[in-house]
Amino acid sequence: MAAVLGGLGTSHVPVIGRTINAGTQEVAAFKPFFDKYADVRDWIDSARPTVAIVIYNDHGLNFFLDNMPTFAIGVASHYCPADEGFGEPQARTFAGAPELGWHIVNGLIEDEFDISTCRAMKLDHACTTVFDLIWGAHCQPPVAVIPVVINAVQPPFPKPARCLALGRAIGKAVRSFAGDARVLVVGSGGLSHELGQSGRINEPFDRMCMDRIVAEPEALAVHTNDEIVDLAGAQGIEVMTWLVMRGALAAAAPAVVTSVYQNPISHTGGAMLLLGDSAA
Amino acid sequence: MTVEAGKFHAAAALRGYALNRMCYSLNDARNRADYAADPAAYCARYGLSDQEREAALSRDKDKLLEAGGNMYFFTKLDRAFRPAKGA
Repeated sequence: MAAVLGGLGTSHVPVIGRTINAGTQEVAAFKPFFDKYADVRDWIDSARPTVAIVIYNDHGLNFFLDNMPTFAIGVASHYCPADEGFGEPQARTFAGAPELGWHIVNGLIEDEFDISTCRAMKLDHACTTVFDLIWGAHCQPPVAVIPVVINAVQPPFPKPARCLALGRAIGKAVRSFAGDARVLVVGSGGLSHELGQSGRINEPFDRMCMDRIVAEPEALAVHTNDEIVDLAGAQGIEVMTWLVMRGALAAAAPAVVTSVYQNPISHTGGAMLLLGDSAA
Repeated sequence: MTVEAGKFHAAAALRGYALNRMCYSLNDARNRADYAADPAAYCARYGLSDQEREAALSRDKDKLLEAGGNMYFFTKLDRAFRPAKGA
């Protein structure tokens, strides 16, 4: 049987991955963010996930405006990273989980989420940074990957309440999978920031999100997207990835395993929150 | 009404396709080199309108948004002028 073990929300600002690649975490201005990942690794060591469902927003790599899905899921057997304009990333291959992926697609359609299916996808830093945070630079993670992409590129974006509901449908689908899968759900994005612009960090908003998402995610989902943009910048909207993650957990009040808020990481309210799903 | 990043704008949604398509091409290192060598000539290859070309050459956020530029794509313009950082 398959189980959702927990959910991890994390920032994915490119400087995080570059710092890991350079091996300079110990001297980074946001070192406490890296330090707290020791707790995540300890939890991973005991929870032993076999699959990571990573919810993130594409950064103009895999999808262009000719064809921009609101929700998309990868059902490929493997994935590779690709150049987003920063330079060619080091080559590596991530294993996919196509059987569980197609099972989730069917569950989502049954629950009236008409998601786009992708048999090939290029992974950008928003998907891969979390693996490097947990398992190190250029790692081959010991989990299979199911990428789930939320449109945060071309407005109008899916509503926060819809993202929470999508997460609930994903969690339900995972728990109904007859095969073996121990699943970590990752929401990769946020918190408050706007591309290429400083001054959009809203620490009270970020801390409110990290607090309320644990046991009252509906309180976040009442915001409109435009309100979130006003409060947290154009890329603050990435908090929707955390709402999908939270929705996938069955517990009414999941346990906070560890968390950190780091203001700033680059121009972003940096954040990490790991929730254990007690129903697992 | 001013175009705001991250919010739907009916007129901006109709503009900027060629501009964004050009920016999307800059995921390729060879294209970035071509763009950096002669930005105006590269814009011509993608059929940019006058407004789009002026916005692209200025790399000014407000002008790019007004021209229908999408920030996830137009942030790649700056990367064409920087050394590769890897990812």
